[in-house]
Amino acid sequence: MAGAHRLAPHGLALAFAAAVLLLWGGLFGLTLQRAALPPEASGRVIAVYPFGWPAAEVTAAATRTEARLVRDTWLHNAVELASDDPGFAGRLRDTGAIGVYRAQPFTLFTLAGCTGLPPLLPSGRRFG
Amino acid sequence: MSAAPAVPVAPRWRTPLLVILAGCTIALLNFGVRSGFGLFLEPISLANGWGREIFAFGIAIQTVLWGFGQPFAGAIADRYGSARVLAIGALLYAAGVALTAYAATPLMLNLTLGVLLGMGLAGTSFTVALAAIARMVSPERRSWALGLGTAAGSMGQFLMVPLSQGFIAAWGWQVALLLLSLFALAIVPLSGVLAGRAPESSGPRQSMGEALKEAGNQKSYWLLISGFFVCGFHVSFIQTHLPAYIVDRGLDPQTGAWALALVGLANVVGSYTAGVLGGKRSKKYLLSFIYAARAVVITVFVMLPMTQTSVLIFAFAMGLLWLSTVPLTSGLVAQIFGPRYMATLFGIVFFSHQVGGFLGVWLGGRLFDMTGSYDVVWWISMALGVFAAIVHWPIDERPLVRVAPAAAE
Repeated sequence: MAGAHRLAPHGLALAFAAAVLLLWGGLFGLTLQRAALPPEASGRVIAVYPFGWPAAEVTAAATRTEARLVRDTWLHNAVELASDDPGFAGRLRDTGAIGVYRAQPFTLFTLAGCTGLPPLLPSGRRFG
Repeated sequence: MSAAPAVPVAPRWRTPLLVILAGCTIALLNFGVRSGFGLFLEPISLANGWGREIFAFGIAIQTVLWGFGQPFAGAIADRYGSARVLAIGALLYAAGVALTAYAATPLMLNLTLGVLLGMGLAGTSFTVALAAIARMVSPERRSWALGLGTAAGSMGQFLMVPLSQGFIAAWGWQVALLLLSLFALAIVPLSGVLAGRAPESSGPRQSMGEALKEAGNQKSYWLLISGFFVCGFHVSFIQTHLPAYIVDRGLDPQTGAWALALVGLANVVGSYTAGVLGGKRSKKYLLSFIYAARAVVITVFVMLPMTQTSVLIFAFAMGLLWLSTVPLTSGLVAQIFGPRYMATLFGIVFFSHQVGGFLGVWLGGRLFDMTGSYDVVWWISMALGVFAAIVHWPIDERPLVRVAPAAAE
């Protein structure tokens, strides 16, 4: 076990975390790039605006496309919208959106549990 | 008991550093991949025209097998080596995830998402990975290594959920499952690093039956089992029912979502810190402190008026105390009984955690339906926190001294 004495514990922990985050960041970036909708897409989407945009400004920009606002999300700079008009994703980008994605039932709820399932919610409520 | 035979020497390349990194990565993948399963509830149910019950039943089977399977996986790991159990577990895990993508009937889903995944999760679980880490590092570094392993698992949970979501968005849910199965498959080569059984640390050689009997006769072991039951109760109750409780008290539902995300983030810090502290301070007193702190945090949270700030403070505090019990509890098992049968003994302790988790989820709902509020369950949680703080106090954390019987003349 001589190798154990050469370990710098916190340094190793930080290096491990940094390596994981780096790998994760690369994979996540690639995935987001692949998941972005083409300009001609329409339907129910999540539009992501630059970080730091106030929620009101995000909503105002998104609704300039005359889309239906479905809901706000847990990020202030992202909203869920719906429109069946062709070219909807492209029009959202024209209003400043940095990414337009197909709406998914993602929630933060599953980040802390042991079951991998979202928790119980009062009936009739669905949010993310 | 018989005299200890010569201990096989590990290859030179299998250094503690490599073992720790491999163990941490296995914990990260094991915990991470399964954390995103909830995201597949809707697409799988919609694609097959099923109600949610079918998917939920598959997860229920998986959870039961995961809990029941851990002591057995631990026993096999202690008997035949961790690598084999981890590798076979990873193959089952990967097969379960991949075949879930093609499950077209409820029975198929029960067999893939339920049986295969449940067995795979048990084979690649914390108990096997942490035991392998524990036996490869020196006792003075063990608690830190266990803390790092637990933090890696928590980090996997935090990182893999958005990635799984991204996979679904980019390639659809079926390809997403196949990609996730590759992550599970990555455990196979990593398991080779954790090959080998634990050496007999000192004293006479012990069979598994003797080790189980010895542990069963120790009051400290039963106290650990009772304490970890409470951990499972708290964690599962809060994870399942906190968002609904917050909404019932009139707050924005998004506050519940942020609260659980904060729990997940603080959990990484708490797990690692507990491991570090466990190497310097008495583990049983740290456990007593953690459970007492949970009781205090819960009491303050329930008694004070609820605001967004109070919810987030509660979430951060609970996150720090969340899985911080794991490196300390597993560390105590290794410290008292030695690392030789740690996977088996900690697997049994972990089973108690799962039973507590089941009761936390079920009683939360049952008592809410009976009384119309979560108040009773919060007070039960507070009382259980006090109970766990008390039961850890008298644990004798000194290593057991085993004496070989006198040789026959």
